[in-house]
Amino acid sequence: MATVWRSQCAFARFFVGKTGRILNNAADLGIKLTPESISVSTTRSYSNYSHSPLVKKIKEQYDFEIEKNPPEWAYVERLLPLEIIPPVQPKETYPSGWIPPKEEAKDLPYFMPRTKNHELPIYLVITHKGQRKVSMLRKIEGDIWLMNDLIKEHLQKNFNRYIETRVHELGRFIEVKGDFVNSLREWAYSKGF
Amino acid sequence: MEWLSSTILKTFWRPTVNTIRTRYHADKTRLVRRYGYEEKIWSGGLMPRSEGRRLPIPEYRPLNPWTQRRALFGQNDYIDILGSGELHPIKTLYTVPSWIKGVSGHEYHILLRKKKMFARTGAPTIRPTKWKEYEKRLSFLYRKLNRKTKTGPSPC
Amino acid sequence: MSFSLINAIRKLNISTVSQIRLISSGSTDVSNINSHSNSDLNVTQKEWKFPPQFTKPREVWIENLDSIDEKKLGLFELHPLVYAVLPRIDIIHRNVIWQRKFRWVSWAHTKTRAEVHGGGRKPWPQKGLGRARHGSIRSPLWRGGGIVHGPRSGKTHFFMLPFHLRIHGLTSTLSAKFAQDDLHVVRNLELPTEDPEYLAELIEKRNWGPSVLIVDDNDYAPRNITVATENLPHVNIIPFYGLNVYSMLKHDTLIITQTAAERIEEKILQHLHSNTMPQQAKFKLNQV
Repeated sequence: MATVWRSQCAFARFFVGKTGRILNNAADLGIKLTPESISVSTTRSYSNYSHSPLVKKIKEQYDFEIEKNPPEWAYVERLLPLEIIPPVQPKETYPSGWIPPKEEAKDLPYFMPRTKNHELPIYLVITHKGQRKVSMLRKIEGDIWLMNDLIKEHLQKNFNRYIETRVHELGRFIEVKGDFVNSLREWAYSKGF
Repeated sequence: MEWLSSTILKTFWRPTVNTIRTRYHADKTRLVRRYGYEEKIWSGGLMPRSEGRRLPIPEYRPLNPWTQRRALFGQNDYIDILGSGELHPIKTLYTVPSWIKGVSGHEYHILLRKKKMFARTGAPTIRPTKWKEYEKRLSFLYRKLNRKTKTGPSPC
Repeated sequence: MSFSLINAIRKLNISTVSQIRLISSGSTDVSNINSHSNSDLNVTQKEWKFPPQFTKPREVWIENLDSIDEKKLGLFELHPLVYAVLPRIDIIHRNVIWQRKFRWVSWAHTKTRAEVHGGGRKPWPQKGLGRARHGSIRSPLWRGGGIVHGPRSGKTHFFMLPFHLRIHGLTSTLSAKFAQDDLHVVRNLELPTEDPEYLAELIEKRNWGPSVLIVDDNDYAPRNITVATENLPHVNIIPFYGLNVYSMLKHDTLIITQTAAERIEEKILQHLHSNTMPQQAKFKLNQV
């Protein structure tokens, strides 16, 4: 124990706490404390960017060599996180029930692209503690008013009542009052979005 | 002789004497209070500039909107989007002191952080009065916030 | 009304695109049209990593800086997701407010009665003098006393605007600039002289407005243009990663080199098509 006290170990001073750092009490530790040794910081932290020195040489913690081996690198690449969300591989059937967008949808005067996760941008927005449910169709391109009319017609036919919608032309979205997400998805799939 | 002259005067000239009532209150002037004091507030109507020295109009010195700091204001604010993604925009705020860069909060939180970061430097010994003021203010704010104010509505 | 407006815009787009297709399809046409100005006009058809699906790519002339008179060097395609979104003025405004606020620290400071020097002694006895009762000469009622609820130094206005709102701010502003013909693409920044009058005359001739923001793709712009802009405070050069909403709005015209336009497009498209959950996470100061 005594050897630990006598060494210039910083931890000893740390454990002793504030009393150990006062100059006159330092005799108890068996080491000499100078004002320089009291300052705890080893690396200086600069409050101002312009006061800090330029980085000259960075010492690496470990020694390493760089070697290039393309066949092995393929295995490393497999573990790296994906840079972009990968495009869809076309298949005969999709077991998850995901439906791919169709090419002929691009010939319509209105368009709704898939999100970056290849899903339809149709959402249910619940606000006021579940009292207000609004279905939202986002990212609409082209003629948003024509699309609004068609949606209204489709919902009227399916539910046999008038359903309120709201078009935000600049924000490129349509809001439908009520929870009609499944019906709207069916409509979007039928159009090929 | 003297008697003679006075009797002659009395026989020839007799003054008419009228009794006049005193006009004391009518002749009285108003009491001037605070004699010698000049009223500084203008109460004469519009346009108070006709009297005395004119107020100096400060010289119009427009700011130069194209100094280097103003012309390049906001540069690198989107560096996390357009750059390599390793640098956050608050790392480029070189002129802001490091203990307050990217901090938001009540005075108590900011002061607590400042004290925490200054504790490792020479500040407590170099500026003991300032240090004492931090501690005093912190203890005051702690008591105020914890004992004398209500917390806000719970988030859920 | 807006229905017809959108239809009109859409028709306009289609017609312009078909015209340009006509030009680009026949090389003879190109040479005929531009034989008087420049013979080697090139039309770049881009190979997109994320091809635009419905909205057609915007086409822009590549201009030159090596002569005062404007020469069209070619056509260049810009991605509609970056340069042709509907400009949301509200989002641009939020971006500008964020840029001004997140760096703003108010250093206004007042001293409380505890911090003003002195004032420990009771100025006069409580009773018997016929005077008001006072306990300290630094009470806020006194002249020279402490200030109550005054500004305290180090008040920050910091907040982070959500990541995608900032991307939307950039695309909105770029699109607005482009739609207003305030965004010009140049091939490079090579000037024939380092005379600032040449650049001023060029800006005057091409009606680029007094203030111009030049965006290059790297840190080192060519020598001539740096010397020329040295004494023109309203003509500024920044690298493409320094682009921001505030500067774009402060300057009248935006001059982007071809490579810088591509780099900006590439970066923003990358974020629009990748997993950005780490960037969207709540701001934590000890993690940036």
